[in-house]
Amino acid sequence: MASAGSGDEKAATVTLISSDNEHFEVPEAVATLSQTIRHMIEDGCTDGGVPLPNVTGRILAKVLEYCNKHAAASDKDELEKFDKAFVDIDDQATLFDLVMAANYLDIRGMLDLTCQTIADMIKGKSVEEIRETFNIKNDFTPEEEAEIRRENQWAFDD
Amino acid sequence: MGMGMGEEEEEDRADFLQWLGPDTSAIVFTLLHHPADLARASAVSRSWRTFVIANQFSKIQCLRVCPEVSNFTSIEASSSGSDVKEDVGSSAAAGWENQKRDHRVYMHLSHSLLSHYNSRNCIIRCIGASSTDNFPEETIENTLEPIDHVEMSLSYWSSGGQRDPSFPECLIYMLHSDLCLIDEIKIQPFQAFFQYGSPIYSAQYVRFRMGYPKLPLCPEQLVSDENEGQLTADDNYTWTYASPEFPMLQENVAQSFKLPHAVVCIGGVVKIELLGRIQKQAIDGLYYVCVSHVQILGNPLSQELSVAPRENGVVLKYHPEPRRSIARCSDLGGEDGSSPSNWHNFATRIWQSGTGRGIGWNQALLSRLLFGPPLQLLEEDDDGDIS
Repeated sequence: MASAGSGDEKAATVTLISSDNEHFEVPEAVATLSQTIRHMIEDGCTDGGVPLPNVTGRILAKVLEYCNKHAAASDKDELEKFDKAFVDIDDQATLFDLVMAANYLDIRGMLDLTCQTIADMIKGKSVEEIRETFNIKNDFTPEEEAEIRRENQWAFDD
Repeated sequence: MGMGMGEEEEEDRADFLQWLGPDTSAIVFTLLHHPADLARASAVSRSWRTFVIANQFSKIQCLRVCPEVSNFTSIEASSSGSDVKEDVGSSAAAGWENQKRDHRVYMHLSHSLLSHYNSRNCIIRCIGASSTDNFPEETIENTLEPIDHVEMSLSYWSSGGQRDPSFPECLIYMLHSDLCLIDEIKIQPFQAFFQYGSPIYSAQYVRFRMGYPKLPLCPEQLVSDENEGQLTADDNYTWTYASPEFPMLQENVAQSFKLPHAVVCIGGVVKIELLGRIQKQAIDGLYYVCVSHVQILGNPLSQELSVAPRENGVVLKYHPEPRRSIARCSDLGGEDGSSPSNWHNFATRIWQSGTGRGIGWNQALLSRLLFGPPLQLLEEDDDGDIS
């Protein structure tokens, strides 16, 4: 008997291809957390896979970890716990890569989360501590720096 | 631009401003809500400082807490106490100087807006009421006097009577300085114990507007029964903030109206709109609104900030050294509407041209001297005209 309806037994998937040619087959429901990918699916140009030349396999795997968890739309507390652990990364380069991937793939929640993590690394720190955190060289002359501090003396109690 | 772990970084710490694009870096900076964090960020390195200034994050911080700040059309800053308006040239260098100036001023404003303060009454004097039934016995000045803990306190303002209960009234006050952060307004309606039934002449709703006078106000214009209604007309003011309507209770208590967010009053003028009358006076069958006491609570901002009107709006002025009003004798002369008047001195100017060195005098005491004591005695006659 012919059955009406699409009758797809498997949920639709899309293949994402990282810059180092790793292939990831991902359910559409998960991949569409990325607005970028969602638009591509809607425009019907995902046959043969979606190349993502700006994202390595390693980073893409992490991104998908995020998307999988958030697409499952679990409990708010659980998601908070997950997010906290997700950005508990020692290595800043990975964190920055995740920011850029979230931006490129347009995943709002992940972008907010990773940017907030960087902002939290600045908050409450003295100028020296900020430089130390991000390995930034002080390129002001002593006079310039003194002038900058004087302008907002109230912020510099160190 | 490719990214990812191409090469092993010797240091696993890096300047994110170099790594991330300007858009994502900007997101990070806008997540710094505390002015101190932004101030420190702008001292980290040249590139950080340039980024903070070019993207106006200090202005964004101000707008986030006080959207009214968007009313400022531009910034003027003086470097050494002189009131010189900086020339806005057309070159890129001048543009950068302006951006640095703006950053400096908004940084100062942001610090001012977000500093901890103890709320206090910011009213320095009355400007006027939309109407007054018996002037000067029931003048708006009475609303500045704290409630006497004597049962039959008769210090209050009364509007004129109206047949139409929807006819609105308003009370307009001037604040301590051009810029005040206001978070709460307290109003106590008046209960006429001397009338049968002790009616309370509250309004149905109140609403608040804040802003500045379009032309400087002359001391002689204020609280006068000759120009009532004219002086309080909306045409004379530019309002930079309007609150929601708050219901008022018909209760003889100081009612607290907390604003949804602390609002910066730009220009030092607050209008209290009294909407909907509910109490008729038995004697004449007219509706009145009467108020015993008003307090406008918050914090005057830093002395180094002030505002000034310009053709296309209002500018925010920053002068790092506080100017001494005594020194500016030329301001005392005329009320020249064409000169860029400076309300920073306006409040003190009033006192000096009025009854002597008013600075430091007790507000209530001075009112009493100017307008006579509030009515202490009841009329023997029951059909007295107290309303």
